[in-house]
Amino acid sequence: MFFAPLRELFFRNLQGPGAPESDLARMIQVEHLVKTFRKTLAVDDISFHVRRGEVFALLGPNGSGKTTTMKTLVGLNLPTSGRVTIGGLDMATLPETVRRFISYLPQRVVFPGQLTAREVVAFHARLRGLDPSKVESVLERVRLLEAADKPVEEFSGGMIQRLGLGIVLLPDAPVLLLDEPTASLDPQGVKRFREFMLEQKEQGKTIVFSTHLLNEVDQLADRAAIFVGGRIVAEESVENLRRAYSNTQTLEDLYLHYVSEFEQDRRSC
Amino acid sequence: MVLEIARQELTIALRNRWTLIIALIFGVLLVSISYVGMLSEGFSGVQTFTRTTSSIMNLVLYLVPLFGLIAGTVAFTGDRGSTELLYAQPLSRSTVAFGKILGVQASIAVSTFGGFLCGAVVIAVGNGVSGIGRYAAMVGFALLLSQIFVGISFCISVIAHRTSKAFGIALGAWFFFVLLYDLLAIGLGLVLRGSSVNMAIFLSLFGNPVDIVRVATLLLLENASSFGVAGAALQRFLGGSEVSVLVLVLSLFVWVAMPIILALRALRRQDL
Amino acid sequence: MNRLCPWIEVDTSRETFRHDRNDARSSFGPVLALCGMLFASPAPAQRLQALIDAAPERSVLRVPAGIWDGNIELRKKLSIVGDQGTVIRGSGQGSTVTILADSCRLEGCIVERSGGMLAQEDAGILVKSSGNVLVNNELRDVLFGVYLFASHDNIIDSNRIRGRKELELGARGSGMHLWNSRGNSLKGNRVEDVRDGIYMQYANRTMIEGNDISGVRYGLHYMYADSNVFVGNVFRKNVAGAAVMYSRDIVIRRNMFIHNRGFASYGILFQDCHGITADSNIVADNVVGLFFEASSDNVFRHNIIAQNDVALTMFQNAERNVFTENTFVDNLSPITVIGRSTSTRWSEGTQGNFWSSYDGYDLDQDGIGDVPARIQNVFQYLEGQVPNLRLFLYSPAAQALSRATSAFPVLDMSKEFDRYPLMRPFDNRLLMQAYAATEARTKSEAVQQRPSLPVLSGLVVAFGVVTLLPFRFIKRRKMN
Repeated sequence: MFFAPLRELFFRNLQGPGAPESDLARMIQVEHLVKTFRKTLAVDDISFHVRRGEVFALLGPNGSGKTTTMKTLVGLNLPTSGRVTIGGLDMATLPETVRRFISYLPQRVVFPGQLTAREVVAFHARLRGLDPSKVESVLERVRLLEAADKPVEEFSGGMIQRLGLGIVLLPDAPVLLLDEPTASLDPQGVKRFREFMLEQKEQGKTIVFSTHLLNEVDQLADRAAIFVGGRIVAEESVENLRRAYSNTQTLEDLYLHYVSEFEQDRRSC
Repeated sequence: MVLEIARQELTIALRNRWTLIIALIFGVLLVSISYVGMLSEGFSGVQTFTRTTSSIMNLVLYLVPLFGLIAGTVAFTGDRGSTELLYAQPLSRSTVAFGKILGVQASIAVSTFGGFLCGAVVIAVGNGVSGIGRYAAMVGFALLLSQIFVGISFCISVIAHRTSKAFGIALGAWFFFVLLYDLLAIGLGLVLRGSSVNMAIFLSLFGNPVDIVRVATLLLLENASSFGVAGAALQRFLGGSEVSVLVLVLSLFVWVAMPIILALRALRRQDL
Repeated sequence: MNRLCPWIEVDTSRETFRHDRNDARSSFGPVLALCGMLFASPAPAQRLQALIDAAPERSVLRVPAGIWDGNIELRKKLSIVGDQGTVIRGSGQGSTVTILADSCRLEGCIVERSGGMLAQEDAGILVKSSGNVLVNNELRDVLFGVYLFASHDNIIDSNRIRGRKELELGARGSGMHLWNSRGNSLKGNRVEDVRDGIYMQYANRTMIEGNDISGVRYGLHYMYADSNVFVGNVFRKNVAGAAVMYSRDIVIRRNMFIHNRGFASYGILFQDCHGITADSNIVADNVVGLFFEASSDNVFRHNIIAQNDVALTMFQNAERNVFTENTFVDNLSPITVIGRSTSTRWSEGTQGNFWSSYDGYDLDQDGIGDVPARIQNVFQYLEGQVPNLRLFLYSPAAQALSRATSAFPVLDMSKEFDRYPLMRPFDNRLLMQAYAATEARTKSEAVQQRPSLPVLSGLVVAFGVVTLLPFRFIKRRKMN
């Protein structure tokens, strides 16, 4: 009862973004995306868009449909219904072309343990048809030059994550899709990652990342969509989010409220 | 791009020690079979090669499918994360998958070759090179069979996402193709009796690559006589002795291609 | 001495028939050599028939080396003795040599170029009389070799017969063809490249000994012929070893039926044969070792039946055959029964057979296995029911079925048991020695390919390159 006005506020924002933006400004557009795995509904009719040069966060607890959405964005999952366009191109019809503009970092990055970091990067450079000289610079940027000739199986989790970032950086793609990029990083790594994100943002990249940590959204994102149970319960600029949660105690309270409310809904159904 | 991915996959497989282990197992078994085969000449010297052939053939029939399935399952489901990264590159799914398949096929071909090489050396030193054509035919069949089962393992990896599940299905497939299928076919032959039985038995051979390899090897290396009347009937059914071997070999190629084509089609509509 | 031909020796005494050819050469050698040069070198050939006509009855006609034109007919009792290189060349029509008079002798000649009509019995030597002796001749380029046509008590000894290899098997004649002929003796002949090595029809009381027959369709094709004895013959590398049909009371001893590997082929086929005694034979490396149809009351003892694809194939109508003290070694299947079961006795008294597949034990050390030997496994039993199931030969399923038989005796539907299986094979050492000698001969005849060093090393290099080439990828680790 207490939260009812707040919710109304969010819904209004969600439905009325003001003047319609041009398609070009909308780098990523997701319309009525539904994804079911066998009988479970993973993503239930979500729509959102990401503007060019924007950092967009998918915020939600585990199993709320963030990763499914992310995979659908990159074409690993095929939507049950709905549409994904990136840069105005339809993912369903031109997946290869679309992926040319995308760098994707999976939730769990794994590399063949028998290869060295350099081999991995060089391989991806060849796949993208890039200049081999980029391999060295990328390795340097993710601070793996010294370990470049060690097999990946000897790498720590953080090093593997950095190698993953290296692969993401390699093609200099305008759109970065990062699935839980900080999940396996130590605090220092998280700090470095933030610097990296801001740097990319400054270069005008469009970045979508998923997380279950509010403070990451707070610090990095321009806008965020809150995922609960496969639905977007709120799509809001971080400014608005801040304003909203100043009414409550913390952003965390706000977020937890959505989660618990959704679960109550589900139970009562 | 396909070749790029294939080369990467081959490198991984070669460093993975699976290739080496498989080649070693093959080599040791082949060398011992060839050696024992030469020792057993003691009794009479009759049919030495035939006995060796059939022993090697048994080895091929049991182990090659198993190794093909294991190597394939390891490679296709081993590290999903890296596969995801690959599929997220600006390449079509078929390109990525086909590259991976080619790489694994190359690696299993290498280990099969390596194993047979050891056997070839022992036989050539002991018995001379007169039988080398037949031996080469055997190697060829082993290679085809391994490629077929790499393809089947790819099918399995498409069906089963998790590694453990894929291994389970792979073992089941091995059991099915190596043993169960023939038992069922034999049972079918007994149930049908009558006139349709011959047709049913002949056709049933084509449903199982292991059977095709077995029959083709025996037809080619020992001519149809060891099958007695059944062999003659089969050859007539397939249209002559040369044609029948040709038909069997062609059907093997179909078996190489078919699982891959089916799996690639399924992959197009799949979540990764 | 005859004035026309001084080298024709006229001798009415029977002794001459038996005298050694070497003796003849030592006394007549120089003369014969001279005549040979005279006749053989400038003149292309001469008619032998003229000499035969001129020779008196019961004389010995020594024919010097050279090519003599045939055909010839022997219408009177005569001995023709060739020198080394005496060639009787036929006209290419009819039989090269036809013997019509009794008690003739043909020795040491090369007989060639018979006619080509199967229906006319065109043979190297066609015999229509009795009591003749054919020794040490070589027959080549002939349709039939020796054809005995209602011809009795002949001796055919140590001849070498080669048919027309260029013809299809079915278009050739037999090596030794016996029709309606009794009491003949075929000894130590060597037959190759004909249709049937020995063909016998209505030929009783024949002694067949020490012949070597290879590379033909049926080594022995045999019907309606009783009371014959086969000893020490070798039938090897034929499409089929021997087909014995509609006959009784035959003794088959110390013969070898080996490497007969044609389609649906066999070492020996018995069709409607009764009262056969076969002992100490070797039946090895045939598609089917012994094949029985409607053949009953035969006894097999001390035979070695080894390394056949199927050792025995028996129709249900083959009854009361006895197998005792035989050695069954390394046959792919010991027996295929067509029908449910046979009334075969797998032992006599307390002596069964040795089965290399027997996995029983002998606790009381009496040389007899304590557990009956199961002769068929399930797969082999089923194969008898549906013959095409043999296509699953060697398949893991078939192997599993045979294993399953020993693990679960319930599965055992076969009624073929040897209750007294021997723990060790019957010691047939002489037979094994003869066999080893024959095998050595077979091997030396075959063209042997020795491993040449260049081929061997080339092979190793080729295989090595293919195998090792991909491993260069491994080195990339430190490069770049």
